[in-house]
Amino acid sequence: MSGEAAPSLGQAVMFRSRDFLKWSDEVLEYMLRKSPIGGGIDLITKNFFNWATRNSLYFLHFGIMCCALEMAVASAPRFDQQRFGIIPRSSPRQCDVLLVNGPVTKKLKPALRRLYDQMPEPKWVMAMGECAISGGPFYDSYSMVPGVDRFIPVDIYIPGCPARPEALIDGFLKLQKLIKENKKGLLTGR
Amino acid sequence: MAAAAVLVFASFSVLTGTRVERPLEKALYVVVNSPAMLQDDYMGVAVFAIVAILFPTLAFFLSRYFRTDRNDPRSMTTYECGEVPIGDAQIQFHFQYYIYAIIFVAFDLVTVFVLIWALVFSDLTELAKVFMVMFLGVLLVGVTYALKKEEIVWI
Repeated sequence: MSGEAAPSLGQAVMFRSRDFLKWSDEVLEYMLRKSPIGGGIDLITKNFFNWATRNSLYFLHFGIMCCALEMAVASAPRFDQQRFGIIPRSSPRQCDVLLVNGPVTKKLKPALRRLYDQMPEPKWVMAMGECAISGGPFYDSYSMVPGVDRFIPVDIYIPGCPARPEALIDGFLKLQKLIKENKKGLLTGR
Repeated sequence: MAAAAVLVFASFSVLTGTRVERPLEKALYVVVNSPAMLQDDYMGVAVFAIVAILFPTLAFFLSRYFRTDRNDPRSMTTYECGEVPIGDAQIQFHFQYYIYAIIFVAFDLVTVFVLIWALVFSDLTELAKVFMVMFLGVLLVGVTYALKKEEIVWI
């Protein structure tokens, strides 16, 4: 905690709701994360949460260009990525994965960054197709960002122009492997 | 508890101006029989109340044990499809919309009634049709009155 002293327990009774939330965040979570309780809970829940997270990868339904069609096909019955728990969601609040599928213009850049910021932790980013990886055919365009990793940390790159649905599903499976290998507790981050 | 019961009876008689016969005996009766009465009548309410208090409290505090604290302050901003949010998401609507909503609800319900009415129209008696028209007329009069009094309902 920084700056002012933590409010006492007696103050919690008289709080307004907003202050109470702040107090819970500061005092309760501080105690929780710094004490062995947090580590213990992490040890118990880590495997389960990791398993649940990697088998329910919800990605943001944000189509930019032609790779978005491949993304749509991957959800359709022929490829059926839902069998891996990969489901498109329309709000960043419900998403784990930001799937960037197309060239990002300089005008879209702040919007995409804001969407990434509005996603709750833990979150991952996948760059699908040449345009998202490096700018593709527009790498030296005046209006394009050459690669989405210039402003968002990218975990998985899926090459292809456009990337096939199989490649997209393979990318998600690689992401599942990545999540499984980097097992972290939610409370302490270890 | 007995004292409280007597107090309730006394204040009741004073406030309403009625005279309660034998307040002490009545209060004692309530107190002696209250556990059984409570169990019979209010068990469901008690269970409901306990669950209603415990569940949000547990959810509020337990959720802190199953989440990460890594978050960006920008993640709490209003979601407007990635654009810069204009204003807060939790805005207050003006009170005048309440009156508007009431008027809307009147005809909203009428739609349901009219649909059912139309479905069985040929099987209805004359009296039933007249009643339905009367019902519509009453609502129409009410809504017309509300719209005529625009200055009062501020629409």
